[in-house]
Amino acid sequence: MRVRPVILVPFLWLALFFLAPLAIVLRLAFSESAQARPPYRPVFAWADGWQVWLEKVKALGLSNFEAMLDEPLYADAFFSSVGLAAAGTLLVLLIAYPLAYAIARAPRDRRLFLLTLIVVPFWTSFLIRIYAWIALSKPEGLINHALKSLGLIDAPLPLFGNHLAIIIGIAYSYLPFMVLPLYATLEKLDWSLEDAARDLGATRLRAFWRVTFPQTWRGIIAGVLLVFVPALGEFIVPDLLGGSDTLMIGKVLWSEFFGNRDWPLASALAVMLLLLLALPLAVLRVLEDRRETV
Amino acid sequence: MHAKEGREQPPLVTIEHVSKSFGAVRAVDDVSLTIREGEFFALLGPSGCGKTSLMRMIAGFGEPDRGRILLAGHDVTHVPPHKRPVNMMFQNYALFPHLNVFENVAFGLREEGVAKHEIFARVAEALRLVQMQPFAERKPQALSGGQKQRVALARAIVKRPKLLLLDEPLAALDRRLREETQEELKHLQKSLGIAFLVVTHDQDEAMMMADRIAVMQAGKVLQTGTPADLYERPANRAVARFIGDTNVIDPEIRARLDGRALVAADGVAFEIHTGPARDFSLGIRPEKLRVLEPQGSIPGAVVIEGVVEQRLYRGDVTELRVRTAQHVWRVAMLNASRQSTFVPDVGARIEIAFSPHDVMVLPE
Repeated sequence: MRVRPVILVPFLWLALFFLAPLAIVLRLAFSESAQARPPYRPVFAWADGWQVWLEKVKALGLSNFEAMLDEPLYADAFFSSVGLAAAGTLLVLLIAYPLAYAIARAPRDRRLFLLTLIVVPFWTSFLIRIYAWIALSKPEGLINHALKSLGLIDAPLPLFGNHLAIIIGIAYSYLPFMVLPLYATLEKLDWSLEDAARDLGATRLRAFWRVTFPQTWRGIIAGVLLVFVPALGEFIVPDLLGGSDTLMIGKVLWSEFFGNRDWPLASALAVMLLLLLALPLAVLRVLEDRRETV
Repeated sequence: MHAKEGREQPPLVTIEHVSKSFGAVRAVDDVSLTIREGEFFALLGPSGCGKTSLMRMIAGFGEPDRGRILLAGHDVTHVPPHKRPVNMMFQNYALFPHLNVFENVAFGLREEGVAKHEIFARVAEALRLVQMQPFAERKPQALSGGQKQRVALARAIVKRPKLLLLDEPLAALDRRLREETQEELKHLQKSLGIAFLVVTHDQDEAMMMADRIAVMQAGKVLQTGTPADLYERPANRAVARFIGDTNVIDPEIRARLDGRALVAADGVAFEIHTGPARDFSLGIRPEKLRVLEPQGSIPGAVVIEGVVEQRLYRGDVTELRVRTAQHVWRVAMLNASRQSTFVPDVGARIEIAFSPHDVMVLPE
């Protein structure tokens, strides 16, 4: 089959804005730290040519990666990130699913409006919204103040400067990324299937659980990936909402790059993170394919 | 014969003065009906006549605004669908795409909490009844339309409902398969002894399968009766028009006396029994009109002269359009033999005849 030239456009785009930066980061990860500007001495020089590169690959020093494994800080940051991102993703899912469901079952002419309501807050700068969230969630912030005035609480709720704040922050920031794929899946469903389930003796809830929910796996997986992956590397949310003790890989990356100016180590971290993310994705992909063929 | 049996059966579903509106539209308007045990009942009407709304209310989807629905003597008007001993076969079949054929059929039994080995036996039996056993492991997407229909049927009967609702059960099938399936459905219904309620817009389908038919139009039931009742004794003009072909004629009424009237069509007078009807038209089925052979005559028949305008050969019958003084009549001549019987040509001047007994009085 002849490949149309149009298809080259996305490939060029990917090569330029995805593969090239990735190559640069990879090269950085195998470089040595140096007191210079930029602060590294490359092992792989662009001028060497690939024969020399091949030699160098054989003699490659993995010092940056070894350093990463020696220092428990990085592993801790990674696992803590996974935990926080997972909790945040779960919270988004729990909020987004009923939302997407309600929108998908709303009258057709009202759906676009409701979807717009979900997306509208995202026309405001992300930073401003996070700052607004700080104002809301601080111990003397609007939420605590309101609850106190109503006499519902004595001491302010710990909504700021801790893990809970990060989880809520992630849930808030990534809501549309979960709602949209879920809506896209739900919107295509045939609702007479739920009627059929109820006719066969299922309550509304059972009908949802046994018929609708299993048909939305694809949307759930898409939404979880769209939220979990960026949440894992999230920097702004933990930096602004988290406490001084919160450890997230995005924050560590940032401080290695800009605090310690250890670019090679930071790049090695980034590469590691990418691998750790890509692996489960690949596994998922294979599982999906297998389910398709059954 | 079935109708006679049905008449002796106790009522299974009683619908009393049920009305239902959607916005400003009265989808179902003061409908009362009785469906008896073991009966094959059809709701027949054009799309939008309210037949589907009525059926959905019997299944429990949507409550009536007024009136009530009794099922086996219990008021189920406000009972949710999952608690009604009624199952439904949906128009698009509504098979669960993520479950295979076996699990689709087993769904209702699992919800009921039936024991595992019993589920297995009952699903196998239901699949055997519809000849879908070899396909138990297939997903619905891998089935043809006819096979899906069978699985949907198996899923609906496996719970042994008192009443099975079928929403346009054959609409998605091609003509050949539809005719086969009509007979199968009828046979299955009699052998299961479950009452069937079919919703259809297809009068042939209703006539073929049902013991009794309710003809609906604009939310109201126009007439309920056996197929023969509806065809030979339609209650009004709309039913006569909807069921089969009819020549509908506005007669000239010359005299009335004691439920009888002297009427004239195309200037030819004859006497008919009208009952209490004041305003009525007359209906004569095309196959009840006869073409007289030259110099022929039929004693007691009303004879009208006309010219053949059109001749349509349809295999079993040849249909003529005959223009008379005031009307165009449709006449169906049965092609009872391959030896050509007398069939007049277009343009021929002929006489058509009918017996006054075959004239249907159709109140407005």
